[in-house]
Amino acid sequence: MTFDASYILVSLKVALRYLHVTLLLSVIPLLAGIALGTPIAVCRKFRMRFTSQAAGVLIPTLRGIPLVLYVLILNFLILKPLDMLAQHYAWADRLRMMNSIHIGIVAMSAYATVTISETMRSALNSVPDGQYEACFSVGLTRGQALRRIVMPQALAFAVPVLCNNFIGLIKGSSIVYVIAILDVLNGAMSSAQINYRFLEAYIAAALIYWVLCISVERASWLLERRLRRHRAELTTRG
Amino acid sequence: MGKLFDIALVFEYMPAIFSRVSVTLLIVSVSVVGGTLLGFLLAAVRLYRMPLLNGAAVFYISFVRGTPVIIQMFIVYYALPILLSQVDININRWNKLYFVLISYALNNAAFMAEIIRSAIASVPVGQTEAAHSVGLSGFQALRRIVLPQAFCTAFPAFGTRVVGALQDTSLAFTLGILDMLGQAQAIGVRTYHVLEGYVAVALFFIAASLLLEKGFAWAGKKLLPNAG
Repeated sequence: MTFDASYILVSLKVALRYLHVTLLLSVIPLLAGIALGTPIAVCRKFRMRFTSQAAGVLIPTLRGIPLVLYVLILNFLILKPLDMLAQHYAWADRLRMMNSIHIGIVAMSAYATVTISETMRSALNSVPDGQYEACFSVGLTRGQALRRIVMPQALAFAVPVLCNNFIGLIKGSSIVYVIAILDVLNGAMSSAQINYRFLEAYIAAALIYWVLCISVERASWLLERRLRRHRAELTTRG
Repeated sequence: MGKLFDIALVFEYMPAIFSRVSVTLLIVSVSVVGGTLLGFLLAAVRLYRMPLLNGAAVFYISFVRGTPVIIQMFIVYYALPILLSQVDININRWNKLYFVLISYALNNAAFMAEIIRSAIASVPVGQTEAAHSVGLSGFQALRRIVLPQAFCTAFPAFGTRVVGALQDTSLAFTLGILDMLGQAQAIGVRTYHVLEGYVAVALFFIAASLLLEKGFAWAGKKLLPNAG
């Protein structure tokens, strides 16, 4: 078998049709991860009763599990009970209201929540405790201090790491091919099923992921520069 | 189809699944050691700005960091035989494990190169200049002054990367490697109990990740000055 670059274009065209699936599988988990991970980080920061202890045990544990196991286990846990119900009540065929993409999104979101809660925790820890004390001394409540003083500073720290997490999610989303979701990787593969040009198809998929990741990296750099501008002012004046 | 999940089966499958732990550990160790060695080469190319090679290294590192490891693995799997057949080497009968080892080492090389490069770049130029001014040669300055300082910066990132490499190995089963996850799936096909196998594998990864993290944190405290 030789290598023919023109087949890369063929695969590229097919794979690009599934770009939205890959984006769905990485953007929604990113947002879910921020929405769910931040409260977890706040609970741990303020050592809230029960929640912080539970998170303190659960998060480091769950962080050890590779993404592919999240996908495989959650796929099983979501599909099998539905299957059993369907059998028990003699519903026609297996339940198809659960699209594989939704399972993928749930699994990726679970993984993202664990990862991003750690990101947000280190971001919160990057703000010195003196900031809280200063807030309390001028009469702000804890929620106000968090929202108005600490979070804006923590966010400047978190954005580059979040972008890294996002890149990880984009790359990680290729793993959902183990539960047969048609994303960029599987789309490229589907074209290779016809012409047996597997190498070209994988290269085509790689190119798409590469462009996506470089764009996020670039955006991260721009965003970081924008968020840092106040900090730069402070240091020059101080 | 019986129960959804039977905790007893997790322990029943454990011996069979953990018997494949050597495969996972082999991939991790080869990829980390090979990746670090290659990473030093790549970092040197970038730090000394070797013409042409520097551009190639930037390209390579960006590609590896910007694409999923699973795709890299398949590209190596399909491209390496074609490349080597040009020089009349036939590797079609190679064990698939070799392809996995090569692709993971190549993958880690890019990450390690960035860790090493940024660590060495973080040592102020003044340190090298000071070393030169007291009569150390270029290599002596690197070995005695710059690298020890760079090591302190690189060590935590290195630890994180090793844990990452461990988790990445979970994808080797997609190429048909019979590692722990592959074994869990094989058991699942035979017995219709796949979840228990996955849970056993997950337990291994949890334990191994925690152990590595703690180990690196401990080693960091012992090795690095002023690290609390």
